[in-house]
Amino acid sequence: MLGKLMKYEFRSNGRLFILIYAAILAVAFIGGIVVNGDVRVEVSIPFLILCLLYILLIMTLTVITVIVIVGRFYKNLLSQEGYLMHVLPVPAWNHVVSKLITAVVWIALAIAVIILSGLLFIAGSGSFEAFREIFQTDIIRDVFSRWGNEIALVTAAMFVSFARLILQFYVSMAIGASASRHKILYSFLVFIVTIVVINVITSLTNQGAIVQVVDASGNGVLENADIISGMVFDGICAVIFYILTVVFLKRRLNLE
Amino acid sequence: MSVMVKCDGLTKRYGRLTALDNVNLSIESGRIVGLLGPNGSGKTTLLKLANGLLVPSDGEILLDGNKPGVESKRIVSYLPDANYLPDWMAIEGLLELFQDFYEDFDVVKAKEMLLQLNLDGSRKLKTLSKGNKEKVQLILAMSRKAKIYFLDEPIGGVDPAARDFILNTIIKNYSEDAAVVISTHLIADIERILDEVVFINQGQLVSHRIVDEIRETEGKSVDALFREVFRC
Repeated sequence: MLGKLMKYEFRSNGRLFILIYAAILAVAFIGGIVVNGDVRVEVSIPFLILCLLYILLIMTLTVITVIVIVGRFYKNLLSQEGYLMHVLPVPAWNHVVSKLITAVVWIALAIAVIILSGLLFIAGSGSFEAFREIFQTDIIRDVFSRWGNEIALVTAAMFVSFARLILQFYVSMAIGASASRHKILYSFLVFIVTIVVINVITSLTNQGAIVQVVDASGNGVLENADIISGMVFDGICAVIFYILTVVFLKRRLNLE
Repeated sequence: MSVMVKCDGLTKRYGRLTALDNVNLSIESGRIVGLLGPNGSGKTTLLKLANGLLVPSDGEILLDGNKPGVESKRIVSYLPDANYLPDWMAIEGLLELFQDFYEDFDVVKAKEMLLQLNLDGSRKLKTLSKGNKEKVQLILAMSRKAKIYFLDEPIGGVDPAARDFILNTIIKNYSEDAAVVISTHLIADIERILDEVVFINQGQLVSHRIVDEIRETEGKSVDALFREVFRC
């Protein structure tokens, strides 16, 4: 049933995301063609327009990813569409997990598209020599052999942090929607409360989410232990938010 | 006949307001039951509780012996009084969704009904009129071979010709092992298909009677009795 739910999750916004991804990749590639391998930064009008368009598209992608993640949960489960979703013969946790996985996939795809757009820009400009140089001098291999564990750890910590943030949105909406009125206001208040609680705990324990770890490190050196403790903290928060979301959807659902 | 819907002391409170107050009710299979009451009497609350969209404050409701949950949702078909289908989906996509999640969904029957009502399956919901959306909702609900049907105001927003179609569709689906509960205040239109009526007012069950008995003993229609009971 989880797979079936995810099918409809991807269908609901897939077309919109594919359009934005395609636009970003196309603009990057065309930008590369306009630069045409010239290493000097050519400040031509078409190039500036493409740069502006690229920035706007990245901003659009970021905003839409957030809106889709938050909006989809609210619209599909806590407003009128909830009459369809909550009478399907699937347990409440299936709804939460299907939306969480889809949301994480949208974030991962957004990051992948941004990285790919950089590569397409280079490909479009015809500067394959730069590519060749990078690969021939073993820079990437060196980086991964030296920092591979750290890169994997930071990536894992980043995604756990994303999952915690997504579930923080979900739990705020699920609790807010159980109120008899002013549901959005309550959701917002619950979200603020979760932020305050997380901040209080992190400041008391002097550890916490990956963002705080990076800030606290000061000299820019990340200690693996700090990253791991931040990831564990995020993981614990995510599990608590997940359980509360499921409980509120199951026991305190209050559709208008 | 077996008991398909059973309410024991079913109560729902919203803060100080009691929307449903200690309702005891039993509905058997093979019956079409009208859940009748003025606006705000608790009809929709009762149907929401039956479908797990609300949780009782007290008491319980059992659907074929199960509390609202995954098991009950497999055998219950619910038509809410709300525009609840996702607007971005085409009718065919909704048929696929119902096929994916409900083992008892009869897609051939659904397509036949779409054809009878001249509804094009490739149309997206957002391009349909309010009345046509309601028809699609009814087709989806009635194309299931469910054991219990909860229909909340099924004829409220459609034209008289479609009303006849809807009522005939309900009768056609009437089977010995299914119970149909129809909530409405359009009693005159619907009373010809009802076996029993449940009058509900201000959250309380006022009476639960057999329609033929009302006609025989009181010599009046359900509509007339309703007007008498709920005279303003």
